Amino acid sequence: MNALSVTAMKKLEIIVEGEQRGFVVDLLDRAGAGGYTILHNLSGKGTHGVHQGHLMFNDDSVLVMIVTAVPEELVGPILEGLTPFFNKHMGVVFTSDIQVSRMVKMPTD
Amino acid sequence: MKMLDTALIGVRWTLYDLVDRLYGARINATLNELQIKGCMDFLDEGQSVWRMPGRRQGMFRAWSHIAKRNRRLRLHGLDVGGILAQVDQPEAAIHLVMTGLQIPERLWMDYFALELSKLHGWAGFVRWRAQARDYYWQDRNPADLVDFIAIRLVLSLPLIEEAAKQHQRDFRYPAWVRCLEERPHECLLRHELHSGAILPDYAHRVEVALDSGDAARIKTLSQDYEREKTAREAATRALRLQELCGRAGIPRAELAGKRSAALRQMIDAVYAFRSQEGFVWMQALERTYARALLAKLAEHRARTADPSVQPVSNEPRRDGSEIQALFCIDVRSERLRRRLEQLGHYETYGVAGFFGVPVNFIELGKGHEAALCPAIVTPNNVALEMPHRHGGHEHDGHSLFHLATEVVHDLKSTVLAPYITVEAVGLLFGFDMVGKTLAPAAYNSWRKTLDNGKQPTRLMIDKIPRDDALDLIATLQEEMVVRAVDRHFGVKREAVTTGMIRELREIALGNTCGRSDFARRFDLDAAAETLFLTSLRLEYGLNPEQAKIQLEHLARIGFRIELQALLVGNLLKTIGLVEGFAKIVLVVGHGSSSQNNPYESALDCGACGGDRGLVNARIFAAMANRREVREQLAERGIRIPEETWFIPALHDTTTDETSLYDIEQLPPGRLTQLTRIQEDLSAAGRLCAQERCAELEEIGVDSPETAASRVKRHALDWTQVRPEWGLSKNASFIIGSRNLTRALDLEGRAFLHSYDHLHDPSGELLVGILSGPLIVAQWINLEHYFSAVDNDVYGSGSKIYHNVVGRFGVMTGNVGDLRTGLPAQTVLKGERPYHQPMRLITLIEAPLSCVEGALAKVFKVRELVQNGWVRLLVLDPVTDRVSVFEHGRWSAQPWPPGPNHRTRADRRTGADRPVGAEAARRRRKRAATLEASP
Amino acid sequence: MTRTNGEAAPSINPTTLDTTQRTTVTPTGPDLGRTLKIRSMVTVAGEFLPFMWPMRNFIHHNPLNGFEHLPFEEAVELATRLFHARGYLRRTDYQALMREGRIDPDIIEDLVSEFLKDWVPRHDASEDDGEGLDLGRILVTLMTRMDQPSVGNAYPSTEAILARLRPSADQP
Repeated sequence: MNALSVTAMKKLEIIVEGEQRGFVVDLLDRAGAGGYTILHNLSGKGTHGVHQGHLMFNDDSVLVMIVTAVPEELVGPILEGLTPFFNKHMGVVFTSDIQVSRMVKMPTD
Repeated sequence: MKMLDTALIGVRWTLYDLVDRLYGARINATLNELQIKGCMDFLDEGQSVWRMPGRRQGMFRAWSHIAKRNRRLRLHGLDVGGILAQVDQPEAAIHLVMTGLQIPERLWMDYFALELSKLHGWAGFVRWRAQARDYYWQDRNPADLVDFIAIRLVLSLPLIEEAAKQHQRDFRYPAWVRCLEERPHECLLRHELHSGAILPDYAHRVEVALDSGDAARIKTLSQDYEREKTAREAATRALRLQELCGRAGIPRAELAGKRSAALRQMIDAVYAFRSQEGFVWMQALERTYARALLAKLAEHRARTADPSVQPVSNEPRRDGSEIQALFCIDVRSERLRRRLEQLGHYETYGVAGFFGVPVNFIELGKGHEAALCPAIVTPNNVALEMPHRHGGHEHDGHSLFHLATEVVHDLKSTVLAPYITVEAVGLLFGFDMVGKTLAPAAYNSWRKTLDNGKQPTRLMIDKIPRDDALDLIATLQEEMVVRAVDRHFGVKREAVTTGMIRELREIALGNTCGRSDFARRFDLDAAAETLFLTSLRLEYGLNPEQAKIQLEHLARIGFRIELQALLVGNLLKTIGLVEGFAKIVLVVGHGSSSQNNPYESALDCGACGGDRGLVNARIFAAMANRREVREQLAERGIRIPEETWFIPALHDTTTDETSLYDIEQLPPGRLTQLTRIQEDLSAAGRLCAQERCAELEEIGVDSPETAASRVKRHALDWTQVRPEWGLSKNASFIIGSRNLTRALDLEGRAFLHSYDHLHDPSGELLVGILSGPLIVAQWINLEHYFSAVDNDVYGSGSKIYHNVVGRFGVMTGNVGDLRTGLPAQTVLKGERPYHQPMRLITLIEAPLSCVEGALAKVFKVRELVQNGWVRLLVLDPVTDRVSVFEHGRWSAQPWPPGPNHRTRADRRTGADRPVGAEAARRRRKRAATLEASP
Repeated sequence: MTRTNGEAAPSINPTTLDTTQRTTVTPTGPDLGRTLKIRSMVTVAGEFLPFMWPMRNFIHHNPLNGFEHLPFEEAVELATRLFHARGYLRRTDYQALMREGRIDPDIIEDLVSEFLKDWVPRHDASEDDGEGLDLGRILVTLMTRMDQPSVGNAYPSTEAILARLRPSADQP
């Protein structure tokens, strides 16, 4: 029978404008992040004012959040990579500790 | 005179820029040439025959591979081998060179920007390519800016090093800083000498002093030079100021008698003002236009409100005889709408030319999807074009399944392998056709048969029920088996039973196993059978994964009825057409036609991603005609009567001809109306052509008919560098009811979007207009602006010198930067600008609070307005006040403008452009004559 | 490497700069974080570039799209320096537009007044003898009746120009 393994990792939640999604995703790929999830149609408020969740005819000006779980040693490099970007663009990164559960095959099968 | 400032190193000058400027070298030019040659080969899209090995690893690595053994580079004195041996990735190369040149990291980004600006056309292309989704050539041969800069830096290093050896100096960053700080006079003189700005009578002395290397001598000469040059410039300026004041009514003697303080103030004022002068002129141009526009609107309002004035027949409608028409907001629609309305029984609306339906479209015979919508939107739905053989009038009878199986059967007679079916039904069956060259000759001749007899087609816009989709895939798979059997064993269809085909299919998919009937019947041994099945799976795509992909592709086709109703409803509410529908509603997209014109798509519809708007028009009309859609709309309060019919049309902006489409779907009794409409459109089109001929400076055009044939010639003439003026002279964007602008001659300079705030209580529809169509219009406006003010840098220069490069861009000459922007012929008339460069004057007819609310919701539009990229005016219909957003806030604008609002321009040209009811009546009579004549 | 005039002409071949690298064959290069940072820097640095689609689907775009976070005037100035381009038409072109009636001279006067209203208080002549110059008229004349010379790179001071305007230096 398979079991759920539990690993300690770090979660990064990166909120950026839709237009910038490609850049962030590319960076995560190059950093070796295993995968990511993208949430669309975020609305919110920040130093730049209010963002509406969904615009019918504009995908670039809405906010998205990219979520990824990475081993701790990748966090530093990823944040280092994002620094020049956030110097110019709006957005934020939340880093937190998480436990990730995945299915693994037991060796006896 | 200013000394060279060390703070500008790396910000305004690269290190080799300094070598060029101070030592007369040509490193920048050499670097440009080498880089262009290196990139051109890599980025080519089919034109060049030579193939670069290793392209898939990215541009830097592929280039690196070649550069290490490139004899040409070594002849230039460049040995990049040493550097390239140490780095594998472009980032590492960048790091190596930047640290090697000892440039501090805080300057790196500025340095990169500077390097990129040297070839900003190529850099811009690479940048675009790097983020283009599903761009075939980028997938195959990836390139991005990191590669680009890495190549440039690696090339620059040995060039700088060689120059350093030659002049026996250190040309790295810290040395340059020291040089500018410790030997500023020498640097100044060197700069003057090599920049071409040196005072001619000093040139020789400077050369000699520099050669001597004597620091004291250099310093003395430099100070002398400085004094002299400044003095001469001061004298020149003083003379000009005297002339200026003289022309301003202050003669020289009087000027000389003024107090020093007053003179100082005058000098400072003049030079302070000069630095802003361009901006002031531009504002003057804008304000003149805006005031004239408001005056026209006020005049129009007063006239239409006045009951004593005889109503012009182009007023809102009488029953039954009127026709409604939806046009794109494009400025070229304005003319046609005006002319059509003048005929008396037309009511027109403006909306972005994709008609609110973003769609990925697969044209018949093409193997790829085209996104027909503004570039900032990603469509979620696919629409297909299928050949339509049945002459019947049912419009929702044929499912994709039915038609696809027809197509599949039709293709039985062709020789080409399974790939044919892919082409016929588009990309959805998952085969990657692009770039493959299987049986190219036969393939091409088959393609031609598709294109030549341009057969009538249907647009498939409905969702395929899952069962139908599975059936379709099964049918296709069986067809594959039939072809495979024929190809591999020479066994024809007649010799095989349906059962055998089905069984082979099931086995290939892994649903059953065991020896097949077919193998038994045709005596195949196990090995041969296995080989065949493997081929079925791999070559012919008969495997579960492929089937899943095919199902997913099929699922993307079409729009659910609910979505269709939503899109149609939103559009109708936005433009304010929710009741009082005419019996015929034209949906008019636009496109242009020209020959030999790489810029052709610049003349097409921006809202459709640079394509013609016909497909969107057809899709919208098809949706709006659907019974099920109308049922859903009725539930939401929009009742479209049964006899109302939407007809798609295409307005050719080069010839001003408009053609109707999909008329075979009309109920028979309505066809007679169409003849009349077609004639109206032709008549209106000819009048438009006549207007445009004046601007195109066509001579000898004395009638609308002559005009029409003249512009038609433009469309067909492959030497014509200006088939039409396109969007040049665009000036404003008016969002509001047509009542505001009807019959006004806006000279084809206004984007017009219909909008009724009464149907938009939440403000959502206004947000839609601002965040979508307005952005597209703003892009168009600024593209024209910058191409007009500096065509050499922001525009692409004269078309005559254009060289199409790699099928993706143009260059002037043989080796140069890629040109961006619009060609000279589009925005200039000879030396002078034809397009009047100013920011888009945007007028919204809605309550001010609504507009403020909408702006609060969209950051991008807010940014554009606050930073002054568009000029926003609001005409509040409730308070009847006009506000303008300026200097960060709203301020009131006089409205209606006072009695002296008519500018000098109006007074002078007033006689030439009658706008009143009188002229409209005259034109109406004329139109009647046209109709009556045979 | 020869030495002349006391100036070293060092090679910039990095293997000789850092002796520890001489022995290694494989590139050591930047670490992951640094690599990502360089990529990020290049990307952001490139945002000022004009977007260029391939010709077959030309889409109009603002060439200064990368500067839209700045006010228009500032953005144009920045781009002017970076691209060595004009941000506005030549004065003579505007004058032509004025002759065609596209620019109202009254509005020119208004704009000049607005400029002076803002500028004069900050640069007051601080003399009250009422013998000042009609700056408004001068500036309007500058715009509408002068051609446009090219500017040299020697920026003479106000004093230097003043001296030339009034050769007899007996006035205060």
